[in-house]
Parts: sequence; C-alpha cells; structure tokens
Amino acid sequence: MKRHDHPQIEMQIAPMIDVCFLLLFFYILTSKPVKPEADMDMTLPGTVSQEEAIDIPDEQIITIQDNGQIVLNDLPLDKPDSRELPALLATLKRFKESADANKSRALITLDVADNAVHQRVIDVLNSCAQAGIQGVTFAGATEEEP
Amino acid sequence: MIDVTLLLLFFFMLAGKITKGEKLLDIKVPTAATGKIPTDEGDRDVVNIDGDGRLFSGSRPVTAKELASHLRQRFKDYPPLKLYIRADAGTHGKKIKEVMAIASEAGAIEIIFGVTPK
Repeated sequence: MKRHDHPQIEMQIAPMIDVCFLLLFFYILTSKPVKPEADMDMTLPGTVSQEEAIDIPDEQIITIQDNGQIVLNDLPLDKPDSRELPALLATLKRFKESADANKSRALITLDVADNAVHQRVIDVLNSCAQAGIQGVTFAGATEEEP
Repeated sequence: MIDVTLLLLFFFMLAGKITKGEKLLDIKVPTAATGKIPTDEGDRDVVNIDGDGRLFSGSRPVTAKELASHLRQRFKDYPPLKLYIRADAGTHGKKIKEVMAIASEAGAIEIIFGVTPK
C-alpha cells in the first residue's frame, strides 16, 4: 500500500507578526476618535398643567422666536444669527446675583417657538448654565396634545 | 500570506462600513460649552429625534403614541424615569416640546439633552 508523505507544516510567526502590525497600523491611522457626548439636564415641571400664572418674584421668561431671536421679558437680546449670546449671559449673571442677594431661587422659563431650531435652545441653556442658573423649565411642555 | 492579508483587509473594511451605517442614526447633536460628561449612563431611557422630527426609542422608529406607552411602561417598571433626548441640532422646537410633554405625562422627572462639548 502506498503511503503518503505529509510534509511537516511549520507556523511562520515572523510574517504573521508583520501582517498583524500592518493591519494594526492601518486601523489606528484610519480610525476616527469617537467624541463622548455630554449632558445638559433640566428638571421637568409637574404633570398638572397650570391654568393661571403663579406670581413668582424671581422668574424670567426667555422667548426663542422662529428666526432664533432671543427675547428676555419682551426685550430682544443679541443677534438671531450669532451663536454667541453676550448680552443674554450678562443679564442672566446680574439676575442670578440679585436672586442670590435676595436669597431666592433664580427661575427661567423657556418659551420656544415651534420652528426654532434645537441648537438655539441649547445655546440659551448653555448661557443659563454659564450664569449658574439651575432652575430652567419649558413653557408648554406639559400641555395636553390636541 | 498575501491572500490572508487581503482577506482580512476586505473583512475589516466591510465590517467598518456596516458599523458606520448603524452608528447613532446620523444625528448631529448641538454643541455646548457647559455640557457635563456623565459618569453613570445606566438609569436613562434614550429618545433620538432626527432632523426631520422622526422619533426613535433607542434605534427603533416609533410614533408619538408608541413612545408614550413605552415611557409609561418604563416608568412603571423602573422608576424614576430620566429621559435622554438626542435631538439633531436642526430639530424644530415643536418636536422637542412634544417629546417633553410625552415625557412629563409619563412621569419623567429629568430631561437630559445630549450635546457635544465644544
């Protein structure tokens, strides 16, 4: 009976390491670092909708209009197309200082227009956070759907 | 050896492309300087809203009604409910308010907006 001679197979380690390094290098170069996402949190008001406005002394209403214009208590602040909001930030800082001096909690109510973009809302929340104001609520967030 | 290298290369290229397609629904969250990197992300429910206002519970497309019932169930099973809203920077305020109203009715106590730190 004929016997097959199998050649001895040896594992070639050196080229394997070369290939591994090559692939590793390639993927390190081509991989994009994933940016971690950060949080901007806010507490929701209760689920019961309020019929009449409660008289809270240290409450300011910021309206964000469709075009991105920021209006603080009927006073337009900053340009609608600018991401920087220096006038709003300065006003909010003064508001926070006076609320602290009166030992009351600074409250901001955001009234966002239907077509205002989300980035603008975040810009305003960002200014509130920079001014150190924690109490921010959304107007109309608890309204019933028609 | 060259065959193996090419095979591996093709495999990783295709795998990279597939994962890119599945990744995060192509939502560009807004940027903010004061965003805080969270240390614990376990206790939150994720709602994605894309630029056209479509809602996704995680990566599953849902209607407003489905989202409301999902959140109510989630609140019943594991209170308290924190909602992580990953909305595209171009999403309209109407949609954000709608989701917040749903969350509020479902009993959420905290809303967290996803942002990219500047």
